[in-house]
Amino acid sequence: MTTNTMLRWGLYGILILFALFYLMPLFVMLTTSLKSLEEIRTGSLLALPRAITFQPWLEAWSSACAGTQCEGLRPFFWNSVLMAVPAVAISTVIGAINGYVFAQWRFRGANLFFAAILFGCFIPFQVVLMPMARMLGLMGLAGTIPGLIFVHVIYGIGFTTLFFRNYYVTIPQELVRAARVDGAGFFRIFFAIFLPLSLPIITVSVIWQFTQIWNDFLFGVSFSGAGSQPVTVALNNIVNSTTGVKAYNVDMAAAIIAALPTLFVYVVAGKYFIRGLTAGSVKG
Amino acid sequence: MPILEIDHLQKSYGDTHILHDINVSIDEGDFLVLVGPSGCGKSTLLNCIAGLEPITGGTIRIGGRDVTGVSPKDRDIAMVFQSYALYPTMSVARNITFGMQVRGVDKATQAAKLAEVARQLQIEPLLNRKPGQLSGGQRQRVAMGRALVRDPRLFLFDEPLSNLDAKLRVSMRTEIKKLHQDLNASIVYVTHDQIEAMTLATRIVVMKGGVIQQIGTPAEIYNRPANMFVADFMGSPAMNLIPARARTEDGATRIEIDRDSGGPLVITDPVARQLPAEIVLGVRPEDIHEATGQAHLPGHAPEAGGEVLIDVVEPAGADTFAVTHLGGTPVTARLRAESAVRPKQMFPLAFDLSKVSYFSPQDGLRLN
Amino acid sequence: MEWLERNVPKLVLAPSFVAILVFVYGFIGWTAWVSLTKSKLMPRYEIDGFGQYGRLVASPRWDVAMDNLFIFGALFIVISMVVGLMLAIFLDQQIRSEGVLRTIYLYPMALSLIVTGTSWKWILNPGLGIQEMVRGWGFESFTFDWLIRPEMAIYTVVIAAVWQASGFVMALFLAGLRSVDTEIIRAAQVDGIPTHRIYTAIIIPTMAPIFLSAFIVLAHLAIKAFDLVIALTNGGPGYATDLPATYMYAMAFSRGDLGQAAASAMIMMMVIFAIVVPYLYSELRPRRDH
Repeated sequence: MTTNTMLRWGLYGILILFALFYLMPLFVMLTTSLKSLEEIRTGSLLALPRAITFQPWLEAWSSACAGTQCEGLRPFFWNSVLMAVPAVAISTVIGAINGYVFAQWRFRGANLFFAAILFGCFIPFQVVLMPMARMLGLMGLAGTIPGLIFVHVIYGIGFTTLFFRNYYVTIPQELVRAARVDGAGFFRIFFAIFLPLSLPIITVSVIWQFTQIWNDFLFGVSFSGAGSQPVTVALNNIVNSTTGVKAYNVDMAAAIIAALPTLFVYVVAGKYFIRGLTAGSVKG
Repeated sequence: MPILEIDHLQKSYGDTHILHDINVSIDEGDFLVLVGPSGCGKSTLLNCIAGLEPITGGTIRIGGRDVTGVSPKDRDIAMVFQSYALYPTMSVARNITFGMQVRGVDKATQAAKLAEVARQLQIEPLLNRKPGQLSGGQRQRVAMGRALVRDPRLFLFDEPLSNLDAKLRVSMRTEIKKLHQDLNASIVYVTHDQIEAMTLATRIVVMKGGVIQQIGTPAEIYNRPANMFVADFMGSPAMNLIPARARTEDGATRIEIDRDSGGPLVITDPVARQLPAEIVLGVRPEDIHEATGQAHLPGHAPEAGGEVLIDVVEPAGADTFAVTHLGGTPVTARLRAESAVRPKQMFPLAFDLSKVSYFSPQDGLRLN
Repeated sequence: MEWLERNVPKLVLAPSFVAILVFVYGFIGWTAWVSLTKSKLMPRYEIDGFGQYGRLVASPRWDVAMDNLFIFGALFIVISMVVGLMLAIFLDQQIRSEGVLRTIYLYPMALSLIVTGTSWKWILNPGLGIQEMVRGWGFESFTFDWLIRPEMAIYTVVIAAVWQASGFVMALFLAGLRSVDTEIIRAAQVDGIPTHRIYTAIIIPTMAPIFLSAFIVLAHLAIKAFDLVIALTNGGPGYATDLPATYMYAMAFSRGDLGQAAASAMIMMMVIFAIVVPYLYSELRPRRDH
C-alpha cells in the first residue's frame, strides 16, 4: 500500500469516526426509547433493544407527566404548532415587504434604520425579557399563545428582513424603474414582479423561522402559562418531573417527538436550512 | 414645437452636485444623444427626464407640458434600459403588454398592439418564452418592443447596446436608426460610445462632470469641438492636441511646433488669427497627409508641414496610421494604405490648416 | 395621491420601525433604567446609581457564572472552530458520499438545545450512561462522572455545545474553501506547492472573513446559551454551571430580584456588543452604494 492510499484510508477513518460521534446521541435516544425500563437498567447504553416496545412513545405522546399535568406531549405539541405557524407566516410576510423596501426603495435614513434592525438581531433576549413580560401583561396576552406569537414575530422580523433584503438587493433596480415607467405602483411591482421571484428566499425564511420558533425555549418558559406551553418547555418539564420512577425511555421518546418536526424539515429541505444559517450569520 | 425642453435643471445629493444648470431643447423627430465618460451625469439626466429621480431645481417640459414632479407613468414616455430590465417571471408577451394591462387597456387592443410590435421587431416566435431563454439580442428587441407598444411622445434609451457583443451592436445600431426614421420618433439616447453618438444622433450633447460641454449636430461636434475635452473625446483615433507657439506676422499666423530632432517645425496659416503666444493645435489624424509640395485640393492654401521622424507604423487595412512625436506628445496621422511610410525614418507630413482647431492651453476653450 | 405614492415605502416600514424602536431599543432602555434602581420584586423607577452592579460583582454566584462563561465560551469557540475547520478541509478532498457526511455533521443544528441537553444528560449520567457502559466492558475502575462533579460539570456543557454547533462551523468553512478562486489553486499546483502548503499559505488566509463570522456566531451562541444548561445540568450541581443567562433568569423569574436581573442582562448585552459592534460596523460600512 502506498502512503497515499494509507492517507486516504486514514482520512475516511476520521470522517466516519466523526459521523459516528454526531449520530451517537440520536442512536442512543432512539434505542433507549424502544427499550423497557428493565432492559435499560440491565443492558448497555449502546446495545440494540432486545425486545422492542412502543409503550414509551405512547406514554410520551399522551400520558407522561409534565409537572402536574399528565397528558403527555400531545397538547404542547399542538401549542407549538399553533404558535409556530402564524408566527412564521406573519414574520415572513413582514420581512418580505421590509426587505423589498430596503433593497429597492431606499430613502434617506434607510441605511441607518437597517443597521438598527440588524443590531436588534444580535441583542441577548435577556435584556428584553422583563419589560416584555410586563408589556404582555398590559396587553392582556400574558401566558397565552397569541402572546408568544407576538413575541416571536417582533424578534423574528430582524432576520426575515435581512434575508429578503439581501435577496432583493441582487435584483437590478432597473426592473423597478421599468415597471414604474410602465405605470405600476409599489404594491403592484411587489406582487407582479418580486413575489414570483421569491420562492427560494421564502423557503429559507420559513425554514429558519420555523426552526427558531419551534426550538425556542427562553420565550416559551418566560411567557407561557400552564395551558400554553410549547413543546420544548413541556419536554424539559417531563424530563425534570420528579414524580414517580425516572422513565428514561419515555424521556427519550419525548425528546425525539419534540425534535421530529425540525429534523423532518432538515431532511427534506436541508439546502435551504443551510442557506438560512449562513445568510443569518455571514454578513448583513 | 419642441418635444423636450429642459430649463436650468439642477440635481444634487446633499452637497454633491450631480448636474449643473442643464439647458437642452429638442424638436419632434430629433434623435438626441447624451454622451460622455462614465460618471458625467448623462444617465442621471435621463432618469430625471423619465421622472425616476427627483430634480433639485429647474423645469422639464415634455410636449409643451410641465412634467417637473409628475410621476414617470404620467409623462408619456417609454424607456429601454441597459440591462433590458425584462420581468424575469413573465413571458415575452406579458412583458410587452404589462404596461397596457396596468393602464387598463382592453384585451383586444393589447393583443392587436402586441401583434403589430412583434411583427415589426420580428419576435413573433419568441412571444411565449421567458426572458431567461433569450439571447442578448433577442432581449434587446423585447425591451424595445415594450417601449414601442407604449407609442409615447418621447423614447428614452439608457445605453441599450452596451451589453451586446461588438458585431450585434453594429447591427442593432442600424436597426435603431431605421426605427427612428420609420416612426419619426423623438428619442433621447444615452451612451458612452462616441461612435454610437456620431452614427445615431441628429443632435449630440457632450457632458463631463455634470456640465454640458457642447450641444450640436454630429458634424459641428466633430469639426468644431468647443473645447479640448470634446476634441479628445469625440473621434477615434482621437484628435491630436499638440502644444505649440503662435505669432502673427505679415497678415498670416506662424505656428512653431517643437520637434525631437532638428529645429522646430514652422507652419503658416494664411489667416491672421490673433492667437495668444501659447496655444494647443488640434488636428484630426485624417487632416495630416503625406506632403506633396502642392495645394492638397485646388483653391486650398498650400500645404504646411515638414519632415518628421516616424516612430511607429500601424497598417489597418484601409488606412495606415503613422505615429510621430511633436510638441512633446505622440501625433497620429492617417495615411493612405499604400503610403511608403517606414518606421524610424524621416517622412514629410502636411497639415490641412482649413480644418484645424486652436485651443487655449489655460482653459482648453476653442480659439478659432 | 402623489404624496401617498411617494411615501408608501416609508409608510410600509413604519410599523416595523415603531416595533423595533419600542420592543428593542425602548426595552433595552427600560432594562438599563431598572438596573440603576433598587427594584426588587416590583420595578421601582427612582435612580439609585450603580448599586446593583456592585452587588452583582460581589455575588459569588455571579462570579461563578462569569468564570463559566469564559471557560465555556473559550473552549466552545476554539474546539468548534478546530473541529469545523478540520472536517471542512478533510471533506474538501474529493470525498465520496460527501453529501451524506455533511448532512450527518450538520443535523444537530436543527435540534432544539433542550433536546440536545436531554440526550447528553442521559448519555453522560454516571449510573446508566457511558461510564456504566465502559465498566460493563470490563474496565471496572473507569470513571466519567463530570455531570455530577461541580468542578467538571461545565465541561459537559462544552461537549454538548460542540456536538451541536461544530457541524455548522464545518459548513461555513467548507463554503469558504469552495469559494476560493480555483485558478489561484491551479497556479499554486503548477508551481509545485504541496497541498498542505496550499492550504496554510493560500486558502486559509483568504478565509479570514469566514473565521471572523464563525467567531461572531459562536460567541453569540455562547453568551446566549441558556436552554442547553437548563436541560443538561439546570445550572447544577448547586450553581456550578450557572451562566449569566441562567443567573439572569433565576433573578428575574424565581428570586424576584428585578434589579439584579436587569444589571446582569445589561452586562450580557455589553459583552455581546463589545464583540458584535465592531463586526457590524465593518460589515455595513463598505455597503454604501447609492
